[in-house]
Order: sequence, then C-alpha cells, then structure tokens
Amino acid sequence: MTTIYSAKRIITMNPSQPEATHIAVRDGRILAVGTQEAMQDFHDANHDSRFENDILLPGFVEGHSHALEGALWNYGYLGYFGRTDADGRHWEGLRSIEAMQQRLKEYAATVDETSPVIAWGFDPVYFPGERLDRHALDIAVSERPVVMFHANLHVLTVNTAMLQLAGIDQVEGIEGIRLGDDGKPDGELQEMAAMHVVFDALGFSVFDLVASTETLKRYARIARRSGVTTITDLYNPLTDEGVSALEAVTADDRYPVRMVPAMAALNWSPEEGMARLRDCQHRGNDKLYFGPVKLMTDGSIQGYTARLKWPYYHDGSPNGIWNAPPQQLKDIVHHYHQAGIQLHIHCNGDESVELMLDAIEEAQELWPRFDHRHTLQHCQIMDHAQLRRAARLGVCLNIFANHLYYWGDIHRTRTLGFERCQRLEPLASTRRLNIPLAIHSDAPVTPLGPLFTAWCAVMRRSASGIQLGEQEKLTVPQALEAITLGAAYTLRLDHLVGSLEIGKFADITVLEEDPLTCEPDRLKDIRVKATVLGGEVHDD
Amino acid sequence: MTTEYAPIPVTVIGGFLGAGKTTYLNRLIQGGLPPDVLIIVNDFGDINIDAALIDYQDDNVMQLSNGCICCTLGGTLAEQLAQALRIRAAPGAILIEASGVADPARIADIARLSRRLRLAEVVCLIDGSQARRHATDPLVGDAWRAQVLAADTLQVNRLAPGDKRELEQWLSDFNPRARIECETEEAPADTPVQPSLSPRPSSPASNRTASHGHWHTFSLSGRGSIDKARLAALIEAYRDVLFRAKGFMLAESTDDIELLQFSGDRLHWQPALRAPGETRLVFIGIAGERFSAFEQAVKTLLENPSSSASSE
Repeated sequence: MTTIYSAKRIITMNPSQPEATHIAVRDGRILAVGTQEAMQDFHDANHDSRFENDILLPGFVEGHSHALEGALWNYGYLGYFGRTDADGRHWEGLRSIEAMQQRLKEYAATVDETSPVIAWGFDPVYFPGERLDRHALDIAVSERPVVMFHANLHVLTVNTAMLQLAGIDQVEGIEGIRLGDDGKPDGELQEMAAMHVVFDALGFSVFDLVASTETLKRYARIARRSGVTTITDLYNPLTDEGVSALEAVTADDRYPVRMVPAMAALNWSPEEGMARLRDCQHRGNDKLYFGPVKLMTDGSIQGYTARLKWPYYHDGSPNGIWNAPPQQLKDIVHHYHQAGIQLHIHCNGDESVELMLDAIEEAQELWPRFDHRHTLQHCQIMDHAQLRRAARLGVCLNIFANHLYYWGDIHRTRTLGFERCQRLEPLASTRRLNIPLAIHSDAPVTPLGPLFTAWCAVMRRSASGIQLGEQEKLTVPQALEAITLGAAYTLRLDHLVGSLEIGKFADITVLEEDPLTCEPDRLKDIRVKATVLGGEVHDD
Repeated sequence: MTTEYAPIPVTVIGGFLGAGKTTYLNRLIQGGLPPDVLIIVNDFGDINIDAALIDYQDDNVMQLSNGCICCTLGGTLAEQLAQALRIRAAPGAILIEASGVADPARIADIARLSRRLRLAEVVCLIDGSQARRHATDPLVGDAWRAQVLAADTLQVNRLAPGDKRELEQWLSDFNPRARIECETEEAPADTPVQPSLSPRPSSPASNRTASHGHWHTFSLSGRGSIDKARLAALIEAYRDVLFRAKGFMLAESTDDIELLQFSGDRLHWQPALRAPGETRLVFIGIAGERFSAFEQAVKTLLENPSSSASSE
C-alpha cells in the first residue's frame, strides 16, 4: 500500500533536493519525495490531501531529554513559565508567590487526603527578594505534608508539616538545611542529606517512577505534541525493570516515538556496563535503539555546581563539583571508547569540557577510531580553542540552547558576566567549524519543544528580553537542521531519520505555518498539527 | 522513622581515588567487624573480597559469611542508603565508602540528620606521598581540602619515614581537630593481614582488568612513574605471553612523559610532550598464569617506584 501526501511545502533536509511538495510512503518508509509529476510513476497509490495546506519537515529529533519528564506530571506544576502536560492541557506560568499558593491549594484538593502533596517546577530565581519558605507553603496547605521540588530538582521547599514528619523542624548546623530568622529550619532543603530524610520519611522517591510504562507513555505523548518523533532518555540506568518497560511500550504500534536510551555510566563499573549493553543490544526494535553511554562530569551553571575555568563564577562563588574523580571520568571515556561505544558526555562548565577533550584526545591516540561521534552535551561556555579542538577530534556538540532564554539573565548578571555570555551556547561558531551540531531542551529541566529550542538558537534572547551573543545566532535553516538531521547524527540514526529521502523511515512533523517564511520570532508559536511515525499519522 | 532501636552508628570513609580506602575497608572486614554491619561501596570490583568469605552475591548485594552485607546500589548516595536500609532495616553499624570527590561532611550530615542514624566517625585516607600535590591540584584540590577538613581521623599511608613529622604538622595545621595516624613505608600495617585479601594501597595507580576470551588485557594509570630499564626487562622476560603494550608513562627520575610502544617483538620509547602528566599503559597478552604474574610484576613497578629497586 502506497500513500502519497501532498503539502504546501516539504522541507526535506536532503541537500540534493531541499524542497518538494509530495511524499510517497510505503510500508512505513519513504518511497519517494518530489513534485506532483514525479508521483505519477506510482499508479495505484492512495492520495491523501489532509496536509495540503501544511508544511512538512522531517520528524523532530530531541537528542537530550529525560523520561523523568513523564513522571513529573504525576504531580502539581508550579513553574514560572507556562508548560503543556501530556494531555495537552496548558498550565499558565505562575508570576507571583500568591499565584503559586493558589495553584498549590487547588492542586492539593485533587490529591488523596492520606497522601503528601508533591509539586515541582518552582524557581525562586525569578522572585528575587521574595521569601519562599515553609510559611509561604503553610498558607496554601498546612494540615498535611507538602514537598515542592525546585525547577533544578536539586532543591526542595517543604512546609512545616513535612519538617515535622521528617523530624527536622528543630535541627541546626547542617549544610543544606536553611535556617530562618528564628534559627529554625525554614523549609528550604538542599543536598542529599536533607533530601534523604524527606524521602525516607515519605517512604518513596519520585525518581523511582522513571522505569514505569505509564511514565514512558506520558513522555512520548508530550514529545509527540511538540513534533518529536525520535527522542532520547539520556541517563537511563538500564535496570531489568526499565529495559522491560522500554520493550513493552515500543512494541505497541501506536507508541508515537522512537526511543534511544543512553546508559548511565556511573551506575555500573565499566565492565558491568559493557555486559549490560551487550545484553540489551539484541533487545532493540524499529522504535528502540540501545547503544550509547551517558557520562555525567559536573553539575549546572545556575546551580553553581558546574566546573568552570579561571576566573570561575562571575560573582565570586566557589567553583563547582565533579560527579566522580576526574581520573575515573577519563578512565570511563577510555574504556568505552576502546570498546567501540559512543559516549554522550554531560559537560556544563568549560573546565569539564577541557577534561573530556583531554580524555578523548588520549583515547584517540591510544585507540584511534574514525566516526566515534562522541558528543559533548550542554557545553554552554566552551571557548574557541576548545571548539577548534573539538572539531579536530571529531567530537559532536549538542548545545543547550534553551538556557539562553531561561537562565540568560542569571548568567549575564551572576554566574558568567558579559563576555562569556557573548559565547554562551556557541552555536554559530560550532557551525563555522563544521562540527556536527544538535540543540536540546534537557526536559524536564526546560520544556520539551524543538521549535522553541530553535527559536532560542535563532533569537538568542533571555526571558527579560536582552540579546546574548549576536554573533552566535543560527539562521532558521541551520536551527531546523539542528533539531532534525543534526540531532539524528549525534544519535547515530541519521541513516534512518532526520531527513525526508527515499528509504528512510516515514517520520514527519506537520506544521501549520512555514518556518522559512514566517518572522523568525514566530518560530516558537508555530503549531504542530500532527506527526507521522513510520507512516502512521498521530494527531490526537 | 521508629525509635525502638538505638541509632545506628555510621562511619564515613573518604579519600581520593587510590588513597587506600579499599585497603582500609578490607582490613576492617578482615580484622573482625561486628557481624551485622552494612557496608556501602562504590564498586565491588574495588574490594577484592576473598570468594571464600562470600555467601551470596548478585549485582548489587554481597552477603559475607560473617553476616555483613555489602551493597553497591544505583542512584545518589541518599537513595542508596534508603534502599540499603530496606534490605536490612537495623544493621549493627553502617560503613560508607565515599566516592573520591565526595565531600564526606555532606555524607556525615545524613547521619547527623536522621533519627535512625548516629555519626560515629569520618575517616579520611591520605596518600602521604601525594598529599601536597593533591592539595593544590587545579582540578581536585578543592575536593581534597574539603575531605581533609571534614575528617575526625586522617589515616596517612605511603609515607617515606623521613617525611612523617613534617607532614603530620602540615596536616594538623590544616585540620587541628583530626586525629592523625601515619603508616610509613617501612612499617606497613598495624594489623597483620593476608596479602591476598589486602592488596597494598594501590595509589597512585588505578588498575582495571578485563578478560576477552583467551586474550587478557589490563591497564595501569595514575601519577606514578616507572623505571624504564626494569619495565623493559619485564617485557623481555614475558615476551612469550605479551602480545602488545602501548601508552604513555612518566619515566622515573626525570618525570618526563614517554610514549611506549611494544608490538612485533619491538619495544620502543619516544619522548612525548603532553599534559597532564599521567602514566597510562595498556597491555594485551595471552590469558593464563604467566600473564597474571606479568601483570602483578608490572603493577608493583608502578605502585612502588622508589623502593622497588632495592627490594628485588
């Protein structure tokens, strides 16, 4: 069975034929792309005109996000920025403490009375000078425990009832437990010790839910709505339970995305990790691709945990922390490189970029490999020497473009200062050096949405509206490539997805407006009408 | 959550990669821990427990014949600890091996906070021969200093006898609160231990071994230097089982980086200019007793660069 879709315009990402108006699909694959005339060779095809006024692109590829996005929507959303849930409901951003309290109260009323109230997404960084403590939560809900995760997931604010339940309403002198003016814990909890007591008192951790099929389904629905057809879970522990859940959801014909889980390297010794990958290798299918390994090196810039080179943080804060000893991080790179594995390496700060470039260079000297496609992830403030070195070593970059909008103001004033913000997310330089480039959301850290990510890369504008790094803007076509073929390349799937050409999976994103002719500032507002995955239309 | 039990004492064992945490843990396990201790380690591969002592083992849990349990669980330490306490609700004591860059003070906070736990001690292992360099290391100096500051006990090893007094003074200026226990090269252990159960402190090297069918590969890495002549002699002696060797090494006496290549019966060194200066060597050969003996001998060479020349 062959189906021919006509469209207003098809943007293909195929350099031999960048544009077309018709696409023929057979058995889930692309049979032909071209003009109406070119389609006449397929006599008995069905003609489907439902997209004739729309713009078709290769299905978007999100090269760095986490299935945790699907788990968090079990709980109340309290973020500063608006966000859409798995059912397509849009939650307005909360611009005041009062609005947050109101939402929390409403949400608590929907939660079973015997359960604690758990919420997420709040970011006090947008409320400078305001006091966000247990009292602010008590106003909304006082009679039962409330746990509110901040946007970064590393800090919690809890109410008085939760402090009492955990038995930490009277402690002092513990780092990570902030005290109020009265010398007692004020409800803000950071770091693992404080988190541990809360999870221990509750008897569960929200992070336990990541392996469930329900979470994976919700994650896929969110991705689908934003036009994504191939997505990662870029830090998957690959537990037995987790792998079974991945197999189960991707076996369903209606599951709307292809999934690439990257194994969390620090959860296993390198030997165990290799054994784990080998076990998983044959368990993939057309919608499930095992293979890459993810390594975490440092923390985040806005959380002051990224490792920066001199002069470190702009406001004088101490340098960040390593996730594992630098030598161990290098050993892991060497181990997997030697074994022929592709590594995705989280490096936020330029010092961790340096360490990982050293590691890859050494690995290349000892065990030269062509086309390793090791990909540095985030790499927000790489300097130009590092970029040139990355180009030389054959490294790909997946840059965290959404940061420009969400934390650009913070980086400009507190963490990085003016000059480094001129090359915050060095997108254009990456292109100039011909380094394979992808851009990402890191959901749930920021909302999933490749068109928004592309908008960030093109406009480079912070939430307050300041321009960061004019010279590092991408053009619209470059940004569109980064969310399709570029990301597919970093996942080693560019032979299967990322462009519309003969033989590839019929994975298509359908837009109601043309990103190449609209005002670039409108990119983020373009509606996704549908996606097609392996020829199956998803428009629910 | 419950107050029926007395709080469980928690000991945190910190220190850098290769500072001897493993050896220290092994000695504790060997030297008679109370029977129901819960031990949380980073990696079973690190602890080399004699198979005879292991009753049961799966990916995450190792039950020892004396009733102790070793765990290596996924997630953050806080999550690991919560999980481990689900496996054994009320152990007699808990030992936590901190990762090489963790701040033990933050781990100790877990015990300080929890009603079920009580902080017994924070021990920090220190490689005496590397202490001053670690303290000022641009990448990890801050983590090292935080570890020393957090400790109740500083357990110093690999110390040349002549340096003892000076280093003790320097460390106690650093952290006046801590008890300092030094172990010099001449008098290794206070507790006699069987060598198979308690390898020498492996600092400054970390060793990884992997088996590939009848080939065997092992690698050495670290900041230690190697005597070229002695390595050449070893390679010569084990030519029959050694197939290939390659890597960078710090040459003893000069501390210069050299590129080593051994293949097709030809051993070749050439000077290399590269930073950071680390030894990183890979050896591939035919698996078996002879290759294992070679591996042992090479490792000794790196681990013990200064005193090995006279001891053989």
